[in-house]
Amino acid sequence: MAETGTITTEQVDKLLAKIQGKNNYYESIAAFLADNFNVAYVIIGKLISGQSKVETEVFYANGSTLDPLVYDLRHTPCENIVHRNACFYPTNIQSLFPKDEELKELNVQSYLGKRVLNSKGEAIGLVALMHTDSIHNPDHIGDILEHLANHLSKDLK
Amino acid sequence: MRSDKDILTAVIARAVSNGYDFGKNVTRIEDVVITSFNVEEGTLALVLRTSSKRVIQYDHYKLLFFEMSFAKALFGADWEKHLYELAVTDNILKYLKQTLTL
Repeated sequence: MAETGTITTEQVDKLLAKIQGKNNYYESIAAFLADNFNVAYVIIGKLISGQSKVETEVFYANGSTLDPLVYDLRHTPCENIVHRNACFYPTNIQSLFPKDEELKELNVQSYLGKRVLNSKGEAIGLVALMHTDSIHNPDHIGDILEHLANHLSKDLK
Repeated sequence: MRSDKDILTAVIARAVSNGYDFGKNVTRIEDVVITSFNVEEGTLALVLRTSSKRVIQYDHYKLLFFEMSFAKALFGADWEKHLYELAVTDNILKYLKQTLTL
């Protein structure tokens, strides 16, 4: 099992400064998170349809970027993300969300997601990590996603 | 014997008294009312007594426990270990009843 790496907020800031305004902005962030936290999947998306769906800005999977997609939040780990700050499902996530077919297809076992708020405190998006094994060090990852979400609040519109 | 709703109420009360904030500064258990709870279907609805009455509906009450700040408020330093246990148990309420002195 690969170890979960650590990232500093300074590293995040440095990356964001380097890629700001570039076409691969979200993909670069996703790759950075996936590589450093050793997770298979990263999603960055914005909430649409009255906060009931997510439109992905990037869906990073095993080193590649999948086509953009829109998915319903109901019956997924992101459900109620509007009301919940950061969610962590350490293992066995397919049993917890049996109606989420994507989790099965991608063999996802764990999930850590953080909502993105706008300046009014309204949920406008999310950043989520998923993995085919357990995700470790959730406190550290949660802190980094919190920092990142503060930046993304200006970008996800 | 305590009902499932009683257990869930006690769990939420503990998390709130340990600092969990449902949002809009709802940090008193008196401000959180369970309006419906169906343990078989798992559905849960909470009303938050705020200036603009807010309702939170869960398709499954288990979602509550996997919010990191809720788990931390409920379990303290061992939150991560308990979250693993909650993820694999087939009866969350039974686990909570056995683990926490409610």
